[in-house]
Amino acid sequence: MRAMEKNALLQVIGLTTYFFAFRRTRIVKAVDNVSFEVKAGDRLALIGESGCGKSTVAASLLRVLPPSGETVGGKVLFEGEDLLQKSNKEMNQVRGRKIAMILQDPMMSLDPVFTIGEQIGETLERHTDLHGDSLIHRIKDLLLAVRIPEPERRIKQWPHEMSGGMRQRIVGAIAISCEPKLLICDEATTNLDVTIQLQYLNLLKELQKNTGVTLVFITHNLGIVAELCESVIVMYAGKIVERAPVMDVFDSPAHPYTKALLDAAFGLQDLRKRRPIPGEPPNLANLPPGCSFNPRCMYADDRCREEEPPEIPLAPGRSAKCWYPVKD
Amino acid sequence: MAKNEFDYLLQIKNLKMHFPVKAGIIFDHVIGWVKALDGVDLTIKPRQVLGLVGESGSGKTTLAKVLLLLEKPTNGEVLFEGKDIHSLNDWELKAYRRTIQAVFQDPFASLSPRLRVQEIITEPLEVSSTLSKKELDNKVGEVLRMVGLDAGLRRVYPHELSGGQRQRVAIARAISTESKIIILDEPTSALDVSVRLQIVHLLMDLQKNLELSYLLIGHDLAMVAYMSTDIAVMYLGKIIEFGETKELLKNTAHPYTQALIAASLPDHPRLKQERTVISGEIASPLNVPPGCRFHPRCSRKKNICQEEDPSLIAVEKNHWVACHFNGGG
Repeated sequence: MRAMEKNALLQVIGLTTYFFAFRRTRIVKAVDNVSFEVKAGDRLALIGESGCGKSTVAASLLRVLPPSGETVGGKVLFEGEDLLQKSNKEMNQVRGRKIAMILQDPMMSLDPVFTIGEQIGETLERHTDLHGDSLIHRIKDLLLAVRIPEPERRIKQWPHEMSGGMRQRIVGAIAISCEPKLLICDEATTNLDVTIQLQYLNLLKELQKNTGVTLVFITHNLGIVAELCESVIVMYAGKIVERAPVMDVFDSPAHPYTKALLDAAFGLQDLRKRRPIPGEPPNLANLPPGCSFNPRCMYADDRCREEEPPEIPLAPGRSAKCWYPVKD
Repeated sequence: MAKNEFDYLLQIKNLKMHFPVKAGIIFDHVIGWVKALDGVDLTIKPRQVLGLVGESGSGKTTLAKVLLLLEKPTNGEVLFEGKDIHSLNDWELKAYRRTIQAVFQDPFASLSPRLRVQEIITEPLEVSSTLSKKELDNKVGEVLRMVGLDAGLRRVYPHELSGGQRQRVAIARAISTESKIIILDEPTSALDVSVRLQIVHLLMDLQKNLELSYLLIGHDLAMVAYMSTDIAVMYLGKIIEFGETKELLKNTAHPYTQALIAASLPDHPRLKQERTVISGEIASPLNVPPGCRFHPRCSRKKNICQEEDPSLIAVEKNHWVACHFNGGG
């Protein structure tokens, strides 16, 4: 763990979140001793397959875990204060105002029985003292900021009257309404068509330029990482297995899992034969001994099957949790 | 496109599927038409992997439904061995249904939770063939092996399987009838990244070994290009570009296809480039723009584009495009 730097907006230290099932006889270690920091103004990618714990990290930060989940250890320092120690009331001042989140399915995040204007206004009313005309004015500005034309008309419309891309913009407008410091995008563009996806990613980039918001992308799409992220954290089976600047991840992945992910991704610029990752992601309630990736790893030997590797630093800002990190 | 009628497995001619939009509660009346398919011409040849790409709402899935006899088209025909599939007699219908099978996106929804793997796979066989119980058992073992599953899994229920295993069962069901054409509707979208490629490679191997034809529907151009021999690009119910995969990617002619390729995310951060994103969204199929249906979003439109609907014209031997300027201009 690195020493506290002045410009770290978010520091996650040893975050551990478990899910309990069958009266606590079965423990699913969704997030296991995860530490990372996000600098102000950064664009960080948190990548991995479904079930690797990346969304649980986000839910733990905002303390919005489902009832079966519990953060059993660690610290989440946001602007120097530990979010895990705050009361619920204090957390309400953080959620939406300091840290906002955009989820995958805009049809789920928007309430079908409230108009667009009411839903954007709700967040503003809670966190600011805007009301009446100035509130309406601010809502219209937000709609324009996410490139929705004719805000006068849109403000009175319902979510079902809009396309998927437009709904996701509305969610974006709600997310940025209180000018948060940190915006977490959890698979925010996964359901969108490619042309709409690119429009949305450009919009996020522009928002960052204008407001300086720090972006964390939770995704399995390496294209998004290549397009706009600066640093990358790779998770596997609830743990961080590699962290590196984006160029290094694509040029010389150090962890065999990162390398395998890259080898398995489709690309339009390269139609050559790809190499699949053998096997399936492990069961988090019953992890293999040693390194969690060892049953699928082509470099694994006895040491990997018995002893869990530590995170080995490779260069400033780079590390891999592997006994035999791939070197260039 | 076909020289003689035995060159193709399926020939789709000027296919139209218009859904009426009704208003009124007791005395309903038609107030408009959703033109999901608006004149599609396409040929599926033996051993061809035909990729069909387009945004949501372009009519890809409606086309699949018409081919699977789940929707009766408003107009046009689909020829199977020289006969329209919607006027086959009972006997021919059975043969057609055996020939064409489908694998859908979500293996959690497409497999019945109440049936064991064995029953899921034998269900289409019981309808379409006269195999004895023993022969059916052998067949199940055989197709499970072909899709890389342990024959012992025949006794389990779908909820005991992982996503990748379920999709393998769906594929096993599709090949069990010795089908010739399989419609793959987003076959890997619901799967994990690491499992996705395993399924893609399985499908490619089966296609080669069993000499199958695929109609591969997808919105991920990179995945479709990886698997397909040919690609058809659909926009608002019409094919606007068709060509051999390599030719189409190299000499992309239609502005919409170019925009799709430009909007694809880079393989590597070094390959990213400043690009112009096409503005707007796909129009509603309820309100298809007059003239070329892409013109409201096209950066190169001229007057003619607003008046006349361009038809598919060959620009190369294996490459057709529906644009007034053949993509140039």
